[in-house]
Amino acid sequence: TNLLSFPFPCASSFFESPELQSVAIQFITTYLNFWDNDRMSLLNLFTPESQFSYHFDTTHIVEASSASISIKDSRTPNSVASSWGSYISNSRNLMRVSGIKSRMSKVFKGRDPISDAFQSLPTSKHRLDKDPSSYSIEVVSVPILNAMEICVHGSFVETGSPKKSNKEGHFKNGSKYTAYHTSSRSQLSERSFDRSLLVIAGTGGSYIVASDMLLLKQYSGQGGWSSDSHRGPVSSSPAASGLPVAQA
Amino acid sequence: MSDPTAKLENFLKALLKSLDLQPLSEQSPEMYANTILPQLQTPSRVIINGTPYGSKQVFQQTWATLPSTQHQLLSYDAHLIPTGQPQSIYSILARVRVRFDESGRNRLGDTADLVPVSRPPRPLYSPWFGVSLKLIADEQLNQTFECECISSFNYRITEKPESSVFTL
Repeated sequence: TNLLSFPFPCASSFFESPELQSVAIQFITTYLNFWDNDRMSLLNLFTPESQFSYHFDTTHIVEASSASISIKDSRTPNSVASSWGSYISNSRNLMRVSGIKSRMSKVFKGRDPISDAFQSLPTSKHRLDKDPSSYSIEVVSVPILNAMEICVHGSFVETGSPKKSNKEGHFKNGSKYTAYHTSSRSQLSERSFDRSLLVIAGTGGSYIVASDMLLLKQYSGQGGWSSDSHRGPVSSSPAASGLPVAQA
Repeated sequence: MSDPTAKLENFLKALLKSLDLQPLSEQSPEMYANTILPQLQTPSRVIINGTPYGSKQVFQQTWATLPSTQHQLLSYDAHLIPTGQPQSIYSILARVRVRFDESGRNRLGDTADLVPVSRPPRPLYSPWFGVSLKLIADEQLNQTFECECISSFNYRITEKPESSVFTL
């Protein structure tokens, strides 16, 4: 009955306008493609004011379907350190990170710090271009910034260890886990994620990423939107070509 | 130097509390609906599970028809973003979990029963659902939570338990 159902219709995607839809789909598909294959190229989208941070939350809410969990994963209960080792030092979960120094050191601002942060995360593979139905996207405009906000939910597979240890570069660690610089020892896993980007359109088709926030979760299978339809204009096939750069 | 994110946790908890509020006996349904997320601007961008609500009032009235809920903030992160104007904005990404009353009545007391049935006085809550919450809010929230400071509210249920009879 209606008393046992969510009264808000469920759609896997929402785009505020057809124009935002075509721009946002192309942008996020290209962005994640570069994130997987040539992450450093994305730095062209960032300015000295751009911000990037990530955090993970280990709360277990639902079981992934058994088919999507590797045999090893299903048999071996993992410690936080072994499951999330690559992410621990700079995870910016503000529920847990207290103290202004620590909070500020975990948000990366400008190309060099963001470059270090990008390289400290495992390499990955998303399937947005091949299996868009396993992702959910909402796109709205942000008039005060003349920007669009892209929220994407889904999963990715970790394919390799980070290029750089968290100890290097601009990383300042006050975490009790600092000693655990064993990214290469972390198990590679499939992760669910939510990601939010604030993207400002520049001149000549260029873009600036003002903010990129990533939330990582234990893999939980297909999301709550599975088997639902898109709301808003019908999606077009995204082109994963070159990436427009930020304005100088 | 002060922490620009210092008040966000209490702010988020205040929002979630308003989503879980029960109507008071003396409140009309309209008065009750107005207490749900009063921090939304008019107009604002409200997206619930991919469905847009251009009107704050329609969103509030629809939410008021839900069974009782319990929300819990699990984690969050935020960026303070300059706008070129005196006020900056917060971009907030949070992970929340929610459970719904499965006893068969909504928070206004409506049931599907044709004849009165004795029901348990307390909600029978479902297993937890996972929610991604994405907000854009004005820096004004640092002065007071009782202001219309949210310009964008995106609530997406990302995880649903198979064992719940509550459907999306």
